[in-house]
Amino acid sequence: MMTATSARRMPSLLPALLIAFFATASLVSCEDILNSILDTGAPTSLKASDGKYADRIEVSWTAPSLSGDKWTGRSVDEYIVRWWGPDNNPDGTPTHQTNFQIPVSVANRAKEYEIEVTTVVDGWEEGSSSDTGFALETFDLIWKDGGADYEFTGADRWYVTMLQKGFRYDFEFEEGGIDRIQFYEFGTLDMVHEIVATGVNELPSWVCDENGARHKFYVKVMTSMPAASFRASFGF
Amino acid sequence: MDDVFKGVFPGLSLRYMLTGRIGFSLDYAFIGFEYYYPESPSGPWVGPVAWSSMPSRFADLRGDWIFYQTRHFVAPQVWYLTSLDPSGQTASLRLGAGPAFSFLIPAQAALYYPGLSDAFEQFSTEFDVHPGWSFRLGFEYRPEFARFLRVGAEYLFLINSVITFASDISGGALEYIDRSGNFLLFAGVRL
Repeated sequence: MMTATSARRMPSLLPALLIAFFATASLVSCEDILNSILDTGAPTSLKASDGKYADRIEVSWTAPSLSGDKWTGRSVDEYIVRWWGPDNNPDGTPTHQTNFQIPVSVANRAKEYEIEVTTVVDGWEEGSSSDTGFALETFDLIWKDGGADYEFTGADRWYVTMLQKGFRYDFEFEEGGIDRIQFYEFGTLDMVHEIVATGVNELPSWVCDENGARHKFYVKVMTSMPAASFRASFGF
Repeated sequence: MDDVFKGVFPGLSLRYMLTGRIGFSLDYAFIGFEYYYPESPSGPWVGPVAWSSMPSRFADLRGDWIFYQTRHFVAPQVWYLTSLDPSGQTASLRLGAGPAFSFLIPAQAALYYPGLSDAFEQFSTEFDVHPGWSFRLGFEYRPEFARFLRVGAEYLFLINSVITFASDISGGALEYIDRSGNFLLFAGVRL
């Protein structure tokens, strides 16, 4: 009777197990898989923030399981956080936490850092994981019906916005006010389009042609003047 | 056909029979996408509409359109089943009732297009819930050749509120029934 009951339950569990497997697999990086196979003791699920904060990069990770035979009786002493970018820290900073903040100066915003976290077990460095991140100060770029006016001081300003494929996005400014406008995929520093101002009577615009799920962008507006103003509007 | 089937929605139902006659279920249906668009660059915004009602100049942009909301239906139900054939028990009459929730989840784009969020208040929130009640009457059939299978049909009637039901239906019974009634076909397996 018990056998019959167990046999009937198996089919109902199988779909749930498959769903759980695929959901988990998508969250694991290739580096995590390799570290798991080699049983290196490296931290897992390392993630550095990508433009989420203006003054820092936040790094977080998960402690290694240390479940293999070679780890019996051993535990994590600390982690060493190293980074390379506009300002390097190759010697690393030790921490007992599973998160860390890398301070970023105004001059080093929008510059990519390579971050590596190494596990220290019994005084030995026993494997590391890495990720890239950057700090960025952003403002929302709003497309009001009929257009909206913006102004800023300094050399450039980064905006976050969403663009509709097929729509035309216009940037109207006084001559000499804006040098160029660059569009980046949101969450990255990968430029996808650039408008370079070339002269009078020009209305810089872009008919968004990005496909798929790429709808959210950084828009970097650059000027050679101490301050700039522009009017942003959309059309089709 | 359009008069009978205004829309076809995929759904999923998990049912647990407490006894041979009483059971509980949790039903989910994805009602679909509803779209919005600006009539001109200076507005106004129009919607919600089906994609077939969008202006032709946007016809090629369906997969990339960012001004939309999705509508979902969730209903925890209690069921009463009674056999229509006491000897063979191959078909049952099913009666169901319980709360029903319609969820509207607006797309994020309205954060950057205030003309859209100003015109339609659901875009000012992350999601919008409309509670109500559902009542069902139908039958389900268990084929002799595959006793784990269930197929059937039922009539699903949704009301916004038990309290306002009388006043709603007195304003035009046939129109109300047409608007609130739904015909469901289902197929399932017993695990």
